[in-house]
Amino acid sequence: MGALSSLPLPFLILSFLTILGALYVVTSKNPVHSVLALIFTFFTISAHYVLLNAQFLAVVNLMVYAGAIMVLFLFVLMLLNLNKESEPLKSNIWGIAAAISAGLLLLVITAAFQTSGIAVMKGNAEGIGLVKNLGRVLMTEYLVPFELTGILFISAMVGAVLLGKRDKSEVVKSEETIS
Amino acid sequence: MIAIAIVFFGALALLFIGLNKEEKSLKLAAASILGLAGISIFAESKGIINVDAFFTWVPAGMITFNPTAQVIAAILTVMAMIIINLMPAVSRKGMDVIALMMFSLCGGLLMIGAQHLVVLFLGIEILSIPLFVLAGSEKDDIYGNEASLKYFLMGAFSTAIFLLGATFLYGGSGTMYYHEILLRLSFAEHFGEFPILMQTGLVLVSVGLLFKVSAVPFHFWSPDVYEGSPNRIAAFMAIIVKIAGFAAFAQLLTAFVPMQTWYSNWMLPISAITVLAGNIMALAQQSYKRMLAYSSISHAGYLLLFLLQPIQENFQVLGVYLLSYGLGTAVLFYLFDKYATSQDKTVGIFTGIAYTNRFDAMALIVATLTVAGIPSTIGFIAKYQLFTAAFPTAMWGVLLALVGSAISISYYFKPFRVLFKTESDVQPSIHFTWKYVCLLGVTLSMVILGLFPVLLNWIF
Repeated sequence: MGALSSLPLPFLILSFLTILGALYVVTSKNPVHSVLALIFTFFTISAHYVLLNAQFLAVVNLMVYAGAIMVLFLFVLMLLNLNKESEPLKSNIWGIAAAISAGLLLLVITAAFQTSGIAVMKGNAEGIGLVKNLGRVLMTEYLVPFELTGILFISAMVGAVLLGKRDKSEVVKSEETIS
Repeated sequence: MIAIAIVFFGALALLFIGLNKEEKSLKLAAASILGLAGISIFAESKGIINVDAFFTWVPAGMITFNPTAQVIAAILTVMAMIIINLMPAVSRKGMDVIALMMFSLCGGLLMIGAQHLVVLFLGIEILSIPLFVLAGSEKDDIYGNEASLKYFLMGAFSTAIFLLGATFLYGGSGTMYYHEILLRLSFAEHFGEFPILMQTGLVLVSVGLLFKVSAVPFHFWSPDVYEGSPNRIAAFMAIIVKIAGFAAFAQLLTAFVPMQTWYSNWMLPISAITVLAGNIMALAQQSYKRMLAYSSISHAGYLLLFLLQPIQENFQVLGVYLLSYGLGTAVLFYLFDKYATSQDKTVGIFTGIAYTNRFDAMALIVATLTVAGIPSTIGFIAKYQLFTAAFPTAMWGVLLALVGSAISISYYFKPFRVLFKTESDVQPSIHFTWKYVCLLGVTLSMVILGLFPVLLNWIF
């Protein structure tokens, strides 16, 4: 416990809450409860970002993950109308295999990190995670990746239209079924 | 750099121009934009034109093409041109499919030129996201939908693993530039031990990239996805993703030169198992397209051998191999697409085409010899160079790869058994269309480059 007590108390409490929430996500039988617990987990992770002096990231994390993506999750869950009867057959073997391999990964990574001295980088600037500083870096040092995300977004938009758009033939078909 | 701009803005322009036109009418325009881009990169690599002056406003260092990478980028663009030109267009309005293919190509170009982990990541994403959509672009085809979903989920997982590795690399070295990572590692080599974070990071980043190039422990998605996707998209995935993936992998590993003996330890078994498993599983396939998918897996195994040896010294070996693989696979996918029906996807589709269509039969033979690596085609030159380069560092890998190549003959040559059988008395008829001219060009280039490898020195 010596190592634990040297950590700041807010971090310990937050980490405890995060792990609790994450555990509830996987153990809960009700998918809607899982999603709500996941939202809670995202909130605590955002609090971690604030502790790490990354305020902007914390806000973005809340907006994007807890806001947009989780609402999408909830919508999909409610549209899918999940219940016991419609659940596809799955054997326990996959769950066990996944648990074992994930556990092995965790074991290997923690064992590796025990021996590695992670260099602690002290952020010397107070407001290093604020929008102003982030924007400055984006527009100077990271200008190229910033512009390149434009290609990514355009291709994602064109792809969404391609998938969502109705073809002429499809429209005719659906009209036939209606009549 | 200029090529990325040409391809991107060309794709945007095509989207607007082709709003109310059939895809067929603008396919040639798309192909010529890509050809223009390819020629411009090639000219840049030879120093004929110099466009760096236009890009002085760009903070330098994140995207840098060395001359060989530029040639590979040119090959990538030309391959995209060949695929778009050869494969038939859909009879539907709008240019969205071709535009998405061009966006995806931008990602491939970025991956090749990336000298920074963030750019590499963006390149992988720009390459993949249009492909997730394209795999399911035939919306009525249920297998296409399955392929799209499978590719999307697998791609998302591999991206997550790649990102985890990238954060470890950043944590271990404090930088994301390749050349600075190299500097830190040379420093660490001096003290005899590499940071554990760098080792874990390299493994995880490699897993992300091996997913993309479908090396064996991470290959499960590729046969299903290739089979479900429309033929030209499958060809695009088999060729463009593999070329871009391997070029990017080789570029990334130039930053890890001091760790070379360490990563060879685990990359050699992956290469060996990829070669053997890919070839043996290809033997058992009924569908010709699935066989092509497994053949592309085995080619990934041969290419992994290249990554085990000092990369910078003979980067052009990689380029030659990727060129030969791309040309051969493009022709095979084209011929499969031409003759396959929805019922019959086995090698039986090629029955008797030596009599009904001599020209296609010739192209099939040349392309098969190229991917199998038989002398007198460029495939042999490529394989020979690759194995010679890899032999000093990975002798066992090369020997296993030779065994794998021997196995591969037996499934590559399956179409030859039915090629000369006559089943119909259809008279041979050849109408020389634009498509035949393209096919002739690709086929001849495979033979000529194989007979006169000196020409490769001029290209690279």
